[in-house]
Amino acid sequence: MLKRKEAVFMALRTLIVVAIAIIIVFVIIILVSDEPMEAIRQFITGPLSTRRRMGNVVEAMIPLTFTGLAACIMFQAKQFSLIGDGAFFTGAMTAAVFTLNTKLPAGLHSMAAILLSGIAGAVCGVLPGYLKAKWNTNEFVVSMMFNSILVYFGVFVLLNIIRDPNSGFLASHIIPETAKLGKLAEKTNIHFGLIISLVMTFFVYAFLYKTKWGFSIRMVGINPRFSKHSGINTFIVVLMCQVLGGFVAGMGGSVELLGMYDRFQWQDTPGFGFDGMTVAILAGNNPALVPIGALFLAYIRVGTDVMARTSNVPNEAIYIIQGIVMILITANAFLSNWRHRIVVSGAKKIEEDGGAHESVV
Amino acid sequence: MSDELLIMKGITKIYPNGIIANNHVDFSVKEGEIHALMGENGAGKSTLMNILFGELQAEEGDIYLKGEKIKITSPTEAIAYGIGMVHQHFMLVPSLTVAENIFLGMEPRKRGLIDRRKMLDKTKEIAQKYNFDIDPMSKVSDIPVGMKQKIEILKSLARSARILVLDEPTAVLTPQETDELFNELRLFKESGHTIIFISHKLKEIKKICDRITIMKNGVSMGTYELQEMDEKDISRLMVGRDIVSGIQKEAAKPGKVVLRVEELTCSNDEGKQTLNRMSFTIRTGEILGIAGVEGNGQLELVECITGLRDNFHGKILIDDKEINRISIKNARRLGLSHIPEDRMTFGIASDASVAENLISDKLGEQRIGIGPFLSQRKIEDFTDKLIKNFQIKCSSGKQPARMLSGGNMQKVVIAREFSGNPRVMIANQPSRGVDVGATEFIHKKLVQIRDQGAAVLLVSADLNEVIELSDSLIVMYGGEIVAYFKAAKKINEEELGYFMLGLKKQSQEEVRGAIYA
Repeated sequence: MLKRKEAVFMALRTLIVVAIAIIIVFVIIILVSDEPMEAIRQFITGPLSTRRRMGNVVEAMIPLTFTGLAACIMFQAKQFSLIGDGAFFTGAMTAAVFTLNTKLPAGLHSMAAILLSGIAGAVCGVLPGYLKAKWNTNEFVVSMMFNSILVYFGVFVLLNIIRDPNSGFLASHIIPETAKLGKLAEKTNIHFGLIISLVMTFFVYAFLYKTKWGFSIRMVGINPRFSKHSGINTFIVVLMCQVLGGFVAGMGGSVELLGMYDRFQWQDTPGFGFDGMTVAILAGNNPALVPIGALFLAYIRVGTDVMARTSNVPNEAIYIIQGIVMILITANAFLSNWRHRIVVSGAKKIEEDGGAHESVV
Repeated sequence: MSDELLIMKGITKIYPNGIIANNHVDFSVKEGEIHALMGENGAGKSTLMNILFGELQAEEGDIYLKGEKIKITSPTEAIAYGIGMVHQHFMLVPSLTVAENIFLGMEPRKRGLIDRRKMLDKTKEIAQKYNFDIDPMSKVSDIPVGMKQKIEILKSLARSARILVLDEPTAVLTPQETDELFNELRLFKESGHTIIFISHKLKEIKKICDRITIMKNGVSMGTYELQEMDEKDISRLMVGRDIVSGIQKEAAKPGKVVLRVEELTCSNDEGKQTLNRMSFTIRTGEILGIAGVEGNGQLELVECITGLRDNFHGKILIDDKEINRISIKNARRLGLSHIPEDRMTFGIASDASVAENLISDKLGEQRIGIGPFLSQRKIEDFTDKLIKNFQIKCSSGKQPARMLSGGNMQKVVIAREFSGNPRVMIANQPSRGVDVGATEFIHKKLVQIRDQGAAVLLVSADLNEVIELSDSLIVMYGGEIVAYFKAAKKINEEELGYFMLGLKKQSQEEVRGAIYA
């Protein structure tokens, strides 16, 4: 009973945090905009106003789901690694190199590319994972610096291996049709990657909650020394969660490329790895909730885009929302008094009902 | 009564995990008395005192000092009211000197700078006044536990505390140190201090206290004059039944050697040698006890054997297989089990569920699922059985472990470790912080696996426990075995104290008795 109330509390708390973030952005809009009401209206209803924009929301949700899942796997083991960002970029790059240099039938071509990109992403996770497991280096710092290396390596590949000299701008050759992911809905760019992302959501959830490996990851996250004492190989777990996180993020990179673009043209990471961390935090590190978190973030992202185009409020407003959400959700003390009152009333009720209660020292 | 110095009325405290630790508790002390606050673990004694000291805020209830209602919201305020507290776990800064610790936050100053000379003089003065033999210049990290406690007490006295709360002060002391502490407490009493003495050791309370308040399950069971109570009355109020003293067990029938430790030498993280060429064996069907003042290498010994520490020399063998360089997982497969001393760090994953805590060492087994998959049904069957067999009080296996009381958490640890079919059981302080009922249960279980043919190593700071439960006993001092007793039952506690304090040492010949050839 008490447990369910706490779950409801956590959900409400997330909603309140999101509401606070959006209200703060409204205040800023009112301060900077000439037509604040119109800007806010565009922000809220803009994404639903046309079929195209609704499509944009779903399209943006797909990469966020992948990187959100990647962040979940790592966060469950309490590994705050940013490798998802570098792995996403590297995954897309790998998919470009692979598809430009192979000839396979449609369908098989894209699947092989996605799988290979996953492996490339997993390889990205080896370094920060191994250094953490072996020498207890800070995975946050190592992965952040390693991401830069990955990006410059990707740019090197783009410039020297896959660049199309006949293109008017810096981009790869055109990706063959056989490798592209099919469209799911007319007049939008919603592609087959949506289904892949939902299947991955199921797999990651099952992995974390229904397998012994996932169990090990969660236990190491809750109490690493307890896990060691229980005979869990913490070395492997710390390494594995970043490798798997990299795998999922790498897949996401190729899905984004093959679903949305004709050429590989990124010269910097598109930042989905960081946004994935916001998604994972919104979802409470539960993979099953990641698509919902991703949908929400995608919605306000498209909302701010529409607002930026129709008013003078820049779309950086999204980063204010993301920042506030991250800070407030991870701040344990936020609303803790309210939670305590729920607990107190719950405990009293159990006491009055004559139920047995536990006591502590 | 008008002569009560301090009154706490109707105190109710509910913890964030929903546990009602104090339920309308009334408590009062008279000026100049030593007042015992007694109860099983989890009865709410420490909680009540933490509320008095301002570290916790009660949901309901009032505190009166000399008839006046006061509100204490922080330890600073409590100190201002003349209330001092010595915690079970010391609150000292290890890298500072004794004097610096005593005057932390109230350092005497000269021209805005700390006046070290005055600080030293004042420390010596106050130590002399209460007849404490301490060196104000030594670092806290270098001094023994008994001394640390004295410094904690001096810290309170230096802040002119008139009411002194001592939370289980004797738990870390040898019998000799305990006597010394009691003499000091009597001295405080004569000089007009009021002392609240938290303990669950009946004998000590009888020895030194004037009145007693007994708590049970967060409720006060009343305050009594100690002279009018005998030990049986108290234990009945506390537990609700008479404690069966003595542990029921038959004579050991030891078989062949299972665990063999050879020439084990080890240094701790600071490079100090903590184990010096220790050798002993344990046979099947035998409980070997290790007595000793804490910090004489017991923890390091256990960590070496259980694979949590690997910077050691020497050999550790189970069934003649060396386990030095194998993983904890494989050592567990050979039958090694470990009840760790530090429950919250190694024993329990508090945010995980009870069920998850029970299966964490069985990931390689078919009992909880096939191949890499977990079977919800198998896990439920398995954990429900354990919860029943080990009498773990919880709503279901899905309840987070953090919601359980200390004693029930320990039962979770015990249930996990015992269900792995142990051949070697390393039990480090298995009943620490656990109530009488659970302690009895744990003891029974230890004897039971001994009779099933396991080799048990029992490390305990509770002398009664090691003497009563062990078949044979070794005493550790300074990382060495200083005494071996073939029959633990025949030891007298006084003599054991001498070995524990390093005042006596057996000959090489006698100590070698610990190795069964």
